Amino acid sequence: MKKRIADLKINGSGSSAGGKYNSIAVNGNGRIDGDLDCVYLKVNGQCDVNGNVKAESVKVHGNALIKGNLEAEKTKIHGMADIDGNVSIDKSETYGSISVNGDCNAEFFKIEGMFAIEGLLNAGELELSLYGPSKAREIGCEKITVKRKGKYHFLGLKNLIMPGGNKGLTAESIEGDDIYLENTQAKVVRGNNIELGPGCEIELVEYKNGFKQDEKAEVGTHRQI
Amino acid sequence: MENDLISKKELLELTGISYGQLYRWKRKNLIPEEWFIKKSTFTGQETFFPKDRILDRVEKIKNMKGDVSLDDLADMLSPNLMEIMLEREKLVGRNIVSKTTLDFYTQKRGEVEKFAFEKMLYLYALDKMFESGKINFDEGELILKLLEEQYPKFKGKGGELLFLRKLGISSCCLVSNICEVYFENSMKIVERLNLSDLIEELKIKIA
Repeated sequence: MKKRIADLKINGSGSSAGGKYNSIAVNGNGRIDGDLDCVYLKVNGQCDVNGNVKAESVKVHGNALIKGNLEAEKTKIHGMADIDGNVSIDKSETYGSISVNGDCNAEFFKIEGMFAIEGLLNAGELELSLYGPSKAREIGCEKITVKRKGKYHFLGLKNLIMPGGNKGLTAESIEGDDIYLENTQAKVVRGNNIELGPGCEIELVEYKNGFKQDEKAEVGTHRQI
Repeated sequence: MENDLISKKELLELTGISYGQLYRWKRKNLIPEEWFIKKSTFTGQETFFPKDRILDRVEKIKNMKGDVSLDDLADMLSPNLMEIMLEREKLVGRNIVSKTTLDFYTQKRGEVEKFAFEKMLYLYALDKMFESGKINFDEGELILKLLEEQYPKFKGKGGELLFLRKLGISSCCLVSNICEVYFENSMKIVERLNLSDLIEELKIKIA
């Protein structure tokens, strides 16, 4: 655990230059210009960082916008996080939404809500409970579980309606060891043990050991390799 | 600059590793991003790797992952430079660089007490070149100058050092990894060194 002395507190509305800190707390609306390197980053409200963020622990209740890369050991987001660059997190939990313009690497990546990753989502374990349309260009993992949750209120947003054809998760390819998908649309799914739950639309499934398909799942071709 | 590529699928079949393992090793930087080559095939986008290098790397990881943590393994295999300085006696004593090469360097650049990793890499590369018998001292000076002036631009990325000769005139160049370069017939590639491999070897020798 790094020991640093300086703390940064933004209460109300304010901005600051980036730098190296121990703990950074934004209660209100904060803007940070420059790269951030800190132990704790806590946001209650809104925080915009015009730079990269490197932290041990990031907690957001509200919105975080990072115009650079995010590197953290732990993140917990209740609300929204938008990252312009790449993301690398050991343990990531998001209740709400997260969007990444680059690639996302994580050991454990949990979402209750929705996400959009423009690049590759590469994670050890993925736990995705989707309340809204989500996507990643490619997904690679050891274990992935994708569950579609209903059209209910979440985070105070009024009924999030999922129109008929709108799938939960869309990806070009999903590759991993153990895969369980619901409501997922993908061109290819490859892995050791694959189980497709209701609502899946997959063009090609290639599995090594086992494959199960729900009657409400559509598969183009499947083969054992 | 291999033209021999192997598909991700073939790789997993040949080596017996799983998708999870491959992605994990990629996450841990045990397999460089540049080795993941996307090509369009008739089935869509597929991923390929430089065949010899990936097979070699996968074997290395499989062999060493029991003894060394993945993070330490990544340090040893990544082209990022370590912050080690070694004294000149140690370089020769540990058989990292031959005395001839060191003397050559001293003659050209003056006495240096301690060598940073980068300088050690240049010496190591020079050593290999001289050892091959295909390069003379004057040409060595060309290589040394090239490395000193241009290698820093490659920091963190892999690359190859090419030594060329055409009709009696010698030259050399640095090319980034997985870059394809073709020369006309009368230009001969005299020697070719993969810098990432050199760095790996050098790290093991220094450790």
